[in-house]
Amino acid sequence: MSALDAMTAVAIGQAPPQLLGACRLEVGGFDAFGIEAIGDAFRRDPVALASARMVEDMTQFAAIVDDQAIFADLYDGNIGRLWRAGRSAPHAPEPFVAVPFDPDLRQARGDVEFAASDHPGLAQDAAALVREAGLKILARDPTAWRSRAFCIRAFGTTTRGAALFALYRMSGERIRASGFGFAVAIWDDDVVAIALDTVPLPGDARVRIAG
Amino acid sequence: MTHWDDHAQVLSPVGRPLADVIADGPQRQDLPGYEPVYRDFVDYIMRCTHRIWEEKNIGLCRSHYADDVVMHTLAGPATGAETVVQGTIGALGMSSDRQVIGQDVVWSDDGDGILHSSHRINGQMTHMGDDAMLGAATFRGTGATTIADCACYQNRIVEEWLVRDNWRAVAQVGGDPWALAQAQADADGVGDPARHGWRRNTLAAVRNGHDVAIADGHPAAIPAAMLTRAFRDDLFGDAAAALSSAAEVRWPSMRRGFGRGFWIGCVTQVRAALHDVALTIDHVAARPLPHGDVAVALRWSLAGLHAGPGVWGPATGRPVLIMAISHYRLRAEAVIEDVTVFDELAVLRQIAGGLTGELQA
Repeated sequence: MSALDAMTAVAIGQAPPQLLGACRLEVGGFDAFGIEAIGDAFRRDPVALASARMVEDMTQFAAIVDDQAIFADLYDGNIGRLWRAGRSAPHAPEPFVAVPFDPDLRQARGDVEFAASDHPGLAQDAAALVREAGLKILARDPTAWRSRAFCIRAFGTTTRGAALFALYRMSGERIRASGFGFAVAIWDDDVVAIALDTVPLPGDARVRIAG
Repeated sequence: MTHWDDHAQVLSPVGRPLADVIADGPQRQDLPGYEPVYRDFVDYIMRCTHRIWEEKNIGLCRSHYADDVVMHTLAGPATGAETVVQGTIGALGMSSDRQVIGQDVVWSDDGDGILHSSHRINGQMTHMGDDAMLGAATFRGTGATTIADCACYQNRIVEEWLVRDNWRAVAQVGGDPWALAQAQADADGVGDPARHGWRRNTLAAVRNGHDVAIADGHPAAIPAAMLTRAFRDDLFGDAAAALSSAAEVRWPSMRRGFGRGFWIGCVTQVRAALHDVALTIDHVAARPLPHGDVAVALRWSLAGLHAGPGVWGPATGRPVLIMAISHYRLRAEAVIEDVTVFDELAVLRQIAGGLTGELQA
């Protein structure tokens, strides 16, 4: 079974042998760990990859269908990690301890964090495409007080490739809810397809830990 | 002792199905004193875990733990193989469908026949039985991360350091970690306080301790320097420069984020609450990963006074001990992932005055 066949099966809630037991799916602020949890998440909200825009190499796979995307880490065809962008979580997100932090570490506020050395499968001259894709993703969310894109996966060439971004958003409301989501960009010649999380920021899940 | 990347034939479990990791076959590593079924040290850790937890052959603990084994946790040490047997039966009695899914085994040859493993696990289970920590069965799913550091000698674990994200486990079943920590602290005050002497001794050991030696060129030097710059020098920005600018950070109690700033946020949240901090780097290991990456396991301890308000509530002045294990993924000598685990429930228990809440470390 090819990686595409395995991903097609996973996306409709099946568990092909290539889906590793230690695989984690992140979707809508929710972690689904292991074969049963991932199968459950996709069975509740399956996606057909037949019409998807897809790109893969030996270590990564990306697909965009309409307004959603799937991204995977591959190890000799085995699926080691999964992300899904553009969909809400299958269950309520877990309680979490909020971390106060500065995403920029400078007064000149940032936008796209990208380190080329993190992405050995990305052609050197494709780095500009990743940054452009990150900026396009940020432009899709003009209501955020603060939004940043952290490029955590990227592969391909100037003509064809994909990137996975962790999106940090802080709302512009009087009380600034904030949180992370994900976005995927696939470029194929001159066409850049994008899918990103638009789920509400998880302001109600944070907890005060003590006292 | 061997170099960190010797034994290239002993593969990380990352990216491999369990069936492949524990497939029967000829030896890949000389393991004197180990059962012949174990083909290499990674196989030993993964397979014996599988045999004990999923195949339910818990009695194997008697041939895989030393009679006088000490298992260190932040809730106190447990001693003896029979204690391990009973504890494992109790855990499976509560969550009989538990799958102890190994995410990585970062190991080292520490000399004198000691092989040391740092085994990162996600235990997937249903809370289907009553439990001392999680309470009455809720039939909710839990899946907290655990890292078990084990010193092994001739088929037996002779010492273990266990860290589990217990705050998350309690929260996952709908519990109130702070209320539970307060109840545990109240119980700690009953009975002979001498049983908590280990904590005073460990706090003193951290304050008087030294870092483990790290060989020149060992990959662990990078994250070790990161931690020492942060917790000893308070140079958080310089420390975080060891991370990729888009690094993934997973700290306990569902602290999940990306980037150097988020890592600094995790560290300063702890450092703000703890004054007069002492840090020791207690053990390091590294192994090659697929795609040219490097896995580093680093066990570290922190002693401090809860003198700052913040994440753990108003300052109490109580001494706090943290035992943590971090697993890092390095690429091109930059940290691209930091998975750090410590038992924050046990930290709250100390904040609440538990494990004898003496006012001076």
